[in-house]
Amino acid sequence: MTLRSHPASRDADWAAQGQIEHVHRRPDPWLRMHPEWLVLLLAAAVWVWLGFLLRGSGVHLADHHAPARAPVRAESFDRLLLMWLAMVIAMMLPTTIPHLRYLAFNTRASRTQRSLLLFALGYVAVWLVPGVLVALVPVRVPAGVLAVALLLVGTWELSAVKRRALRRCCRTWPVRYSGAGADASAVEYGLRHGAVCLLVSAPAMVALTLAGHPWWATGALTLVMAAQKLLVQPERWRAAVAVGWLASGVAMAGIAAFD
Amino acid sequence: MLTSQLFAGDPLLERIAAEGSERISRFSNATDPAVVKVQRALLLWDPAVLPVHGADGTYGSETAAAVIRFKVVELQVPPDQLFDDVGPRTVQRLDEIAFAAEQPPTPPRPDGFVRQDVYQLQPEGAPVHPIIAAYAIAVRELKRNAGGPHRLWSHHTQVHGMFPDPNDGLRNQCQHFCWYFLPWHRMYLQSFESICRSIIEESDQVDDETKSTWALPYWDYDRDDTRVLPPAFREPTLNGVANPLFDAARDLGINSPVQFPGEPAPRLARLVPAQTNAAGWFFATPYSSPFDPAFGGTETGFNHAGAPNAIPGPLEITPHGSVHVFIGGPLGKMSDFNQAAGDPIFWLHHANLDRLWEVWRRTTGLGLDPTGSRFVDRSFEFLDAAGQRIQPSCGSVLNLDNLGYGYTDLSIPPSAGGGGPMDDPNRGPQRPRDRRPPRRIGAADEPVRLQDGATEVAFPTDAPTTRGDERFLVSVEHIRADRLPSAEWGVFVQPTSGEPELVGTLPLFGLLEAQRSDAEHDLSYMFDITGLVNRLDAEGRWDSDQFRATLAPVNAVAQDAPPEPEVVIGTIALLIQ
Repeated sequence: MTLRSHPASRDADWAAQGQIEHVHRRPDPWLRMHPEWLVLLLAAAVWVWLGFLLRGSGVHLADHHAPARAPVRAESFDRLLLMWLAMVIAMMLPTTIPHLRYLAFNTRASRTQRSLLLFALGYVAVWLVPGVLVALVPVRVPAGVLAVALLLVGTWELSAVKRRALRRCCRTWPVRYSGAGADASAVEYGLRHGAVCLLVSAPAMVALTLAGHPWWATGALTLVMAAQKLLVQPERWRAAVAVGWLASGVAMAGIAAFD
Repeated sequence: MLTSQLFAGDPLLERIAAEGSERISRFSNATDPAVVKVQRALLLWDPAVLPVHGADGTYGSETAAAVIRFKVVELQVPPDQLFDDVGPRTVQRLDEIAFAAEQPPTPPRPDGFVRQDVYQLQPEGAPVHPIIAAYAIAVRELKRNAGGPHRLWSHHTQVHGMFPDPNDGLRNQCQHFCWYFLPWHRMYLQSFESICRSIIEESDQVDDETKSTWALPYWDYDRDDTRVLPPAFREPTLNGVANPLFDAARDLGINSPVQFPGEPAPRLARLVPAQTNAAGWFFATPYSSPFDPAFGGTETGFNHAGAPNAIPGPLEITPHGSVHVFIGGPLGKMSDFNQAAGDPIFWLHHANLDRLWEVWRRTTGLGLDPTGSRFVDRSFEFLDAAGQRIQPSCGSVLNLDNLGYGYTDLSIPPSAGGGGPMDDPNRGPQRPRDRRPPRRIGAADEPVRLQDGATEVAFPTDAPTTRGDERFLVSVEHIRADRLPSAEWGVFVQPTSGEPELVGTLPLFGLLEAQRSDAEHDLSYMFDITGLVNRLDAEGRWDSDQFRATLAPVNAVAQDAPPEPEVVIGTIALLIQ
């Protein structure tokens, strides 16, 4: 091992014994300590784009005569799919921070960002499946259908499948250190974690899309999903979240009834 | 010349004590290894003197204020001569205080209960001691499962683990692979012990002296004459009736002799030193860490962003996990979270772990109790002797002096390597809590499969171009198997020459629970090999470009044991921090 001499080291006694010569490390730069920065930057950029897109969009609950007005959805399949992917990148990718960091610190330092982007690729690819289905849905969704969707999401929140998926959200998978194996394991990690995330969040994302991405709901749902995935013991708030969805469903059903 | 074990030999403190010109202050030597020693000595002087940061190894404003207070109260320094640095008088007086504290601990208060070594109470071949007989009476009563919840053996078993989760706040609560492991089990023991005591006090089969002094015994298995299950727990009958301390669902050779391959005669299964050794946990610091193997386990944060993997502390691995699977084997109760506490030896095993925690707190861990509210204020629910819900917090159970019980022996285990806590020749420098995650510098490029015999692992590493005070860690991650093996696998680092060096074992306690569909983590271990790397490097036997390890069983497996399952390790890696 090549060791540089540093006589001022606090472990100079070891050096004096001819054992080890120590060199103190400089503090790690912030970016090295937070390798997830590039993916988060990507998500932030998409948020800015969404911000422009979502202005004035979504359900207007006060407008009983146009409960499902959804201008964003009056687009082509391609456009809707792009919109879905943008929502996934903006809303879901930041919730994978623990996994991004685990991956980053467990692959060769020189390939950190490459591995993270491969993870993101795998993660987003999984979300294409519901994305395609959602993009095929008729443009205008009746309020009654939206009410049913909201009630189903509320019920899903209380299901055992969701509870198990929430717990599995913390799970890491083996990653390889270098070479093609590292690339493959990063993509596989993204796919696997994306699949768990689908169980946790896809119903809510679909409901949001059917509602036409109202900006306030988009923001609120982002916070809820981030809290569920990042905070410890997320089961504590499952009931409250479910009540929120069910109440929204009942309100929407009421709107549909008066429509 | 400094005399305390804590200060003696520290170059900076020796120079300061010798009236040298150096000082420790916020601007000079603020992160020197001597700082944590000064902080620990200050905590010996007044346990409340560093209320926020504790002994964190950094001379910040809190430590400076503590030194000022020490100088005013202890050294009577006039206000106009006060400086918030550490000079000769401060070092000399703190050294005297540390030396006094290092003398053998005073016996527990006469009004407190004393937990005694089960082998001291009843050596092999001796009659059953009244303390053990009283425990049997309490267990028999609980096993009737006929009273309120607190008087049910099934309840106490389910408090540790239960499937499906009843979500009642009392059951299925065991804390593993995190920093609540030790305080939660201390609360659990206290609750169980108080209920046993209330049963014993009601019994007309127990004499008054035993009633007034009874405390749960502990099993110290880290001695050559105590490595088999204590005799009272092996006998199917006690005084002519079924022995409530006996459990048939234990591994081969635990209750009665069995044949081991290559041996002339059947014998009882014995723990081997690798399964009970104190060297792994005794020198571990700090109490907790977000990432790496600290004494008490991985911190449970407010969120998962920092550290998605949960790593057990070294005491939780060995001897805790090792003894669990030694008793339970592949199929027994002690190997299963949901049944472990249903074996009466469970409580003596955890009483010993509780004792070892106290040994660490009084030596290596002096002043290193966690101080943050996420730990101190975290509470858990239990039932007391009256059947009422109680909710002790982790902070309330840190200090045994406040809990009304003690242990007959709080000496440093010989297997720690002898000497004092600051005297381990194989350790790297003490360091404060590290907020940097460890980074891999090499890993096996395929899963490692274990079944029979030794398995070798080798992979290239990106050696650091410079060496500072890095920690070297070996991680063994994402372990999976269809069932528990009978063998306990050891991880041996292979030097460039000479014999492999054991760095830890893989008891796999919790493996099946970690594979459940609602488990948050796979089972993973991490071992600190800094001291070993430094030693091998100094001896010219450490290859910094290639990591080589061997995984091999450390224990003998009974001849009639079931075939071993394949154990798959997702990744073995070398990390630095």
